[in-house]
Amino acid sequence: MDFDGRRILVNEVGEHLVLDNEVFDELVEHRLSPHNPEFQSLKAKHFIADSTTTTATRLLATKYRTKKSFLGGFTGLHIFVVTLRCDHSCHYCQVSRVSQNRLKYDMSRESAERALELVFRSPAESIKIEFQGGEPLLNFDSIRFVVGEARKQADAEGREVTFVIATNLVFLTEEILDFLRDNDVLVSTSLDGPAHVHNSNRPRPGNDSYELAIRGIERVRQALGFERVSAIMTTSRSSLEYPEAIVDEYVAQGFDHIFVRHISPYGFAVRTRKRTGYELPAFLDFYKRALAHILEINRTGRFLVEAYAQTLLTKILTPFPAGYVDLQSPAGAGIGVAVYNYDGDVYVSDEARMLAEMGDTSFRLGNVHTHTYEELFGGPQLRSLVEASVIESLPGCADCAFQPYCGCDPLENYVTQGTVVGHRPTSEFHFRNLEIIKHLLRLYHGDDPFIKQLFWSWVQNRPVSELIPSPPR
Amino acid sequence: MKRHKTVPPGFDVLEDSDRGLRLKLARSLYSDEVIFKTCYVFTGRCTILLDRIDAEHVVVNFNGSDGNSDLRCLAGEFANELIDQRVRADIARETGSIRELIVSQAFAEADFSHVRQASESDPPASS
Repeated sequence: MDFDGRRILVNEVGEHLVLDNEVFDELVEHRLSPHNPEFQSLKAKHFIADSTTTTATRLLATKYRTKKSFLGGFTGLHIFVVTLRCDHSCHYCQVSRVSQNRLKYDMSRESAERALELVFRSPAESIKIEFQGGEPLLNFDSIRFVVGEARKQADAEGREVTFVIATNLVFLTEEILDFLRDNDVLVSTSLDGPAHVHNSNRPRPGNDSYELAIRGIERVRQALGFERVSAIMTTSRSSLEYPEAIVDEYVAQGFDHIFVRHISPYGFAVRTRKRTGYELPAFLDFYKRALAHILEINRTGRFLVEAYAQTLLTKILTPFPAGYVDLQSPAGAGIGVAVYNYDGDVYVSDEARMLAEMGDTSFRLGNVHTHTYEELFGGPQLRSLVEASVIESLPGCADCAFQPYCGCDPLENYVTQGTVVGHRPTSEFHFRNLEIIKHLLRLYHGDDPFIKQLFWSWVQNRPVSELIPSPPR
Repeated sequence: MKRHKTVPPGFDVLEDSDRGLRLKLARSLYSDEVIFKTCYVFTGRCTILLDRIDAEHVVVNFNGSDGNSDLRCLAGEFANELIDQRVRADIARETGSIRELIVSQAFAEADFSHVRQASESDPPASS
């Protein structure tokens, strides 16, 4: 691929090299001299081989198998939507929420029991159960039941099970905190930035979502431990002016990870797109400004990771899978993650659930009460979706140099372009990832050695000072 | 990449008018696969229609919405992309067997003994 006037080469397992055009021409025309300094780099990165041994192919096969190792565990993340009830009215919400008093939108015990049976049919040795809503704490009884039963089942089978609850923290009580602590439940909450950004995005009666979130984060940290709560942000149109302020808010609140996330085209976000939506160039500008600020913060010695960059860099710099369902091939919808809705319906992803709430049930696999595990996870619907998300065979993706780093989102293709396969030349998913990957590679191969160290520290999830004997100059 | 303001020299232009731009490509230089893949890249920016005027040549018809000046610039990028796609095709032909060997070896040596075994009622792998 053209890379700012040079050429970037990427092999089957994601190893990459940047070459001058002249060297690239000599390489493809089989004229490259073994005395050329790049010859050794090309050998080291397995682009060329001058040995008759099979060492290179076996090494590459091992790396390829490592990259695809996520397939062995099949569905590891199971999302329980325990209620649609919520007290917030977030503009970008993917959820078709209902008001707090509509109990018929809570998951029943029978649905939870049947969903758990399906969870433990998955071959994954390590299972993660995530509670979502609405606001899941509004149906805490269901959470308590699922955690208790899942732990019993996991212990009986010798498997690992972890729990996460995605909550706005408004309905925390001491009883709930005690339960979360005693059962090692991780907490994930939303923090869109400083108060004026957060409250603008997430209205609720009293317009105090930010204040409640901060208070909730503090309560969770005191009861469960500092590291037991994480935050995620959503970038809305009103966020675009404040990338640095949003990053600063995460630093001020003591977080060491921030996921600079674009808005998704689902659910209420569709209806409010005129108010909350933005064009891709605006988001990319926002992302780059936020990333630049994050890099400078790290330069002062404060460890802060941009999570999407961390995911991409893991794929760029190592053979290991990154565990992000939209950046894998085949895509993780249905095979990496499954969603069990309050009414027992099973979906390939949260976005699929949102489409159903908008009247399109194309990605509903079935219902826990009427379908077997084999029908839900081995049926023709999921198989055809998986087939459509193998980027090694998708138009545009099949020939892309960044294929080992990328993935696909068949539901975003379907919603924005009309087919699960999508059309790469007009795909926002394609251009968004293409530009972010190029930006990261430009930074990595630039003149600043600190950036290279920092990116490796993100991949290893430890500060730069722990990577090298002395701090960078 | 230099942006050409006109169609680059050496390009066989059949028509350059208000109705669009038509370029003639030699199939001896670019296979149908290469031409189709190149056209695919540009289907987001203009309308493309392919035609074959004889056994040796393919005609690419460009119609854009922003006037012909953009099409002339686009033709320059199209020319570069043709070369890129041709190089990719050549490399794919030269290395295809090795890449298949790598993938085959990767899965042939996979050890799933640590993965929980599927139940007997699971559906067969192929349908």
